[in-house]
Amino acid sequence: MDRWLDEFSDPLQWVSIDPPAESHIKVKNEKNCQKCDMRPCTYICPAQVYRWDEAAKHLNVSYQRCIECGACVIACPQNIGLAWPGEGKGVYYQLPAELSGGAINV
Amino acid sequence: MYRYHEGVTHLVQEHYDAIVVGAGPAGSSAALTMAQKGLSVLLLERGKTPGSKVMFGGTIYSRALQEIVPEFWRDAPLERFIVSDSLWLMDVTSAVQMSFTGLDYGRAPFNKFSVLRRNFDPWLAQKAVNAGAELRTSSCVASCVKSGRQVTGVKLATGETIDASVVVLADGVSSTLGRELGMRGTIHPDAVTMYVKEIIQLPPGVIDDRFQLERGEGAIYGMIGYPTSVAVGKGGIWTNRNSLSVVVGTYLDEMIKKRLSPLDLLVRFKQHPLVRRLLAGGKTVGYLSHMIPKGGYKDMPQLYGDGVMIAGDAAVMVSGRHGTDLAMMTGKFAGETAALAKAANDFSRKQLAAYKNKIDNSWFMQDIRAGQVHAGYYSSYPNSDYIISEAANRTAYRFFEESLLSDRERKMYMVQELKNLQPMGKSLMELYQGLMHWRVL
Repeated sequence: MDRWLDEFSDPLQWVSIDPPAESHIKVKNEKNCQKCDMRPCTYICPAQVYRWDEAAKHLNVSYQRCIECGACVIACPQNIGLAWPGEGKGVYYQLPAELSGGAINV
Repeated sequence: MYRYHEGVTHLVQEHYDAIVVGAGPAGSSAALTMAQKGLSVLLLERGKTPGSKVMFGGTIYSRALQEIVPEFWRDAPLERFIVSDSLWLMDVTSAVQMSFTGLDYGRAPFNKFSVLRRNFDPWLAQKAVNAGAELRTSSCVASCVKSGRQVTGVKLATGETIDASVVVLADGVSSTLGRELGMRGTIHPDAVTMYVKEIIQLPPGVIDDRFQLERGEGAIYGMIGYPTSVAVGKGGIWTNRNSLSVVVGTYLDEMIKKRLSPLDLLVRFKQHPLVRRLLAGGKTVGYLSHMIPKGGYKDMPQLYGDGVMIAGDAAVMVSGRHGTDLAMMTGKFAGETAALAKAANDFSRKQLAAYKNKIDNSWFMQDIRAGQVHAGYYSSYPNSDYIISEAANRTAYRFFEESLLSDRERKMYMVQELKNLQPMGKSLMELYQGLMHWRVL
C-alpha cells in the first residue's frame, strides 16, 4: 500500500466520493484476518480500502475510499460484509465539461 | 390511489405495475419497454443520477440498441463509431497486431459505438421517463417485500415500502437482491473478471492521428500477454471523442492467487513503450473499477420467480465482449413479459416463465452456452495467453530479422524456438482457443 501511494499518485484524486456517515463495510470477525494467509483484500481492492497493520494485528478499513466495485466480498465472502451506501451516498463519477458528450455528427 | 411524495412535485402512486431496480442499460430498457406498453413504472436508482455509480462497458452495439431506441444515433450521447478492431499479442518490447478496419461501419445503421456511461446511462433513463416511467434517484433498495412466495414490492434503505405487481431486478453484477431472494448463488472469484479503467483526455485530432482515424471514426484495441503480468485477462484502449479509455483486468481468482493489484497492472500497462506513445500528453480525468460476470451458463440464475425477474449483469448476461447489449435485450424481454403478464392479470412464476423462453431462444444464449467450452480451457491452462503471446512475438522477431541465415535455417530456428517453449500441438491449440475466447474467430 505504501509503495503504491509513494510511487504512483493516488487515483482517488480522479474520483468523487460522498461517504456515508457510517461504514457500509463490516469485517465480520477480526480474528479471521489474523489467521488469513494471503489477505487478498489488501491488494485486490482498486481503491486500497483495506490495509493490514502488522504491529497492531488489525485490518484498517478506510470505507471512505470505497468505489463500490464489490470485489472484496467475492474475494472474501466469509469475513467481509458490504451494504451499498443509501441516500445517494458513496461514489459518484463526474467528468469534465469537455467530456460531457452530445450526439455525433452523422 | 395517489398521494404527494415528499420532495417530489408531481403525483406519485402507491402501487405500480412494475418497479425496476437499477437505471443501467438493463433497467432503463425494461422501464422504457413497459412504459411504452402503458404500464405504470417506477425506476429506482441508488446513485445521485443514472450512470454516476460504478459504470463501465465502453461499447454500445448498434443492432441491440436499435431494438430499444430506433435510430438512437440521432440524439444519443455517443463518442465515436467504431470502424477498426485490433488484437495485440504483446511482449515486453513488441506486439503482433491483428486488425480489421471497415469503413462501411461508418454509415447508418453503424456497427458499434464507444460511449462514456456517465453520459449514456442518463440519456437512456430519460427515454424511459419520456415514455412515462417515473425515475427516483438516490434511492437504494434494501430488500424485496414478499407475501408468501410472491414478490409484492420493495423496501428502501429509508424503510419506505413501495408496492408493485412485478419487480425487475437490474441491480448489477453483485445483485445483492437476487442473492437474497435465492435466485442467484454465491459468486466465486473464478466467475468474474476485475477491471480498472482510466479515462485520459486528449484532443480529438491527436487521437485521429495516432489511431489512423478520421472525423468521428473510432478504434478498439484489445491486448493480451504483457498487460496482465502472466494472469488470464486483457488490456485494452477504447477511443472516445476527446479521450481514451484505458482498461486492464484479469479473472479475480487469478488476481488473488498471483497477488496482483489492479492498479499496479494499470500503471505497468500504461508504461509499455507501445502503449505509452498512444497516451502521451494526455490528462487523466477518471479512474473506475468494475467486475464483469464471466460465469456464463453454469452461473446463470433462476431468471424469474413469482412477481420477479432478473436482467442484465445481475442475470450473468455476458458473452465474450458482449454485455451492455445483452443487458438491454434482457431488459426489453423482461419488459415485454411484464406487459403480457398484466394483460393476463397474472404475475405468477408460471406466467413469467415466458421471460426465460425469450432468453433461451435468443442468439446470445447459444453463444453463452458455447462459451463455456473456452472458459473451461482457460481454467485448466491459465498460462496459455501468456505463452501464445510470447511465442508469437519471438517468431515474429525471427521472421522479420535480417540475419545471415538461409531461409531453411531460419525456419528451423523458428520451429526450434517454439518447441523450446512447449509442445507444438499445445501452442496451436492455445492459439485457436485464445482467438475463440477473445472472439477474434
